[in-house]
Amino acid sequence: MAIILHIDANSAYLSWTAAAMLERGYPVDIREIPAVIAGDPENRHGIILAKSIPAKKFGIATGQSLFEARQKCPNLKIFPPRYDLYMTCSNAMYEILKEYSSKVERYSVDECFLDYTESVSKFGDPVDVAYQIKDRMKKELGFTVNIGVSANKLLAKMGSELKKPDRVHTLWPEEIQEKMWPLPVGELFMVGRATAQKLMQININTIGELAMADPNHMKALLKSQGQVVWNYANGIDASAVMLNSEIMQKGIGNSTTTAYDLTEKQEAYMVILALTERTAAKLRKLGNMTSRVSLTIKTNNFVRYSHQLQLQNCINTTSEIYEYACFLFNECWKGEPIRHIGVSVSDFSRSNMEQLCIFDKENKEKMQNLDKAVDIIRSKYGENAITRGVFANGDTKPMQGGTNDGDYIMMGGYGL
Amino acid sequence: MKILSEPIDVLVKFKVREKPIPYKFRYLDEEEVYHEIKIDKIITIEETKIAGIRSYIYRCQSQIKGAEKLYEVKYIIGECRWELYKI
Repeated sequence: MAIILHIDANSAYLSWTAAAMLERGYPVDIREIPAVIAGDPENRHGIILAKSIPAKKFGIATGQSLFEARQKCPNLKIFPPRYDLYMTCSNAMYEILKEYSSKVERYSVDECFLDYTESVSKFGDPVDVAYQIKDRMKKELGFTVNIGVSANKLLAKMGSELKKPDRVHTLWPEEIQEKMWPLPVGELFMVGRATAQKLMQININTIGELAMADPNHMKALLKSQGQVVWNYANGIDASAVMLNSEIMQKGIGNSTTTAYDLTEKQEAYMVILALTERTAAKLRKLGNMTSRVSLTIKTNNFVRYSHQLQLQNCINTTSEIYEYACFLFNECWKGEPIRHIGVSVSDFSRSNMEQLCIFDKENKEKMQNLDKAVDIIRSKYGENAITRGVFANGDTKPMQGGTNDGDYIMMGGYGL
Repeated sequence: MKILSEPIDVLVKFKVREKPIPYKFRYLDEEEVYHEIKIDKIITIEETKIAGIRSYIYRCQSQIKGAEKLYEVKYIIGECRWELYKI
């Protein structure tokens, strides 16, 4: 039987900030007072990214607006996010975990899966080791983690979610009934708000009730996801711990909420270009080419729509992706003020072999060489070392979206 | 001792494979006057990585204003920077 550990930093952004602040002599531990990490409301990034446990008691939740949170708790302390610090903390956490197994998957910035199966003979009982890891994190790195121990990834993850903070939980298959089944169905991994609502309509309120339901019924109700969540409710998951280098990325995207509503086409183009710069750079870094470009817009009334385009050929240059993104923008924009724009690419092929197309741009090779040179300059001298002329003397930042150049998503895992 | 975390100027000796050895340091007080302190004795050197920030903390002893005082200086490895950490 496999043994998997899931390690999850408790209110990661907040406790990492707290650890760094205490180390610098800040008089209080912000984990013990109502405090949140939130974006800058001036730039309209004012949503809660992480909260302390005392803040949670006031009903403050991740994703809420700062305004809403302040109404619930007027004495709330607010701190800005420090993404560089978060990468440092995440790396330090990963370094410790790597001592215990060669198979550690960085699932997101604050979560890792560790395959302990092969390490039993060396380090002994997994639960003892989980306690050891938890205590080392607290002592050496100054923040607490929850660890779930089980026989597969799903159960390990569910286990680490049980009671927080600073705890180790086992959730072996024989414990499912007692520990997991009484939980509300919305707590199950992959059951989001919409799915939970659908299930509740047919009177499935707990994970146990979902597990007891007929899988065919679930499939009829929720399509292919029905089978997945039914399996999960029964603790069935065969996915292996993957090293991050082995994970194939299927899409790359980048989006931003603008500091003010965009009303001019030209302004929107500039933001699209700034977003494309980073999307395309990452695409090239992974050695991929794309044949599908998509664009998402959210208007000032929070109406969201997107368009995508399947291309005949494969591209990887910033200019071409930008061109298609602008085309999509013209197709879908109805002139309303824009709050949020996203550019993403998918449907990859490797860039070391390429199907040429009769409709390729004449200067394709030249553009590719240009991008290659720009990428090298940026990696050597910083990403602002070379920028496009349109951004000169303007207010629009030349690279937008994304908070850090990790190869994984900052919070919450691979788009789940 | 109280945490101060004040950046300081330090004269340091580097020996073959050892950790850097601080020799003396100076700091600016509130009146913008420099005080220079020679490190008489390094009692312990401890490596920490709280919040993932790798540093060496040196517990030191010096004559300050006629009295023997204990204090800590910190070398933040990733930033190549010294701080008067605790006094």
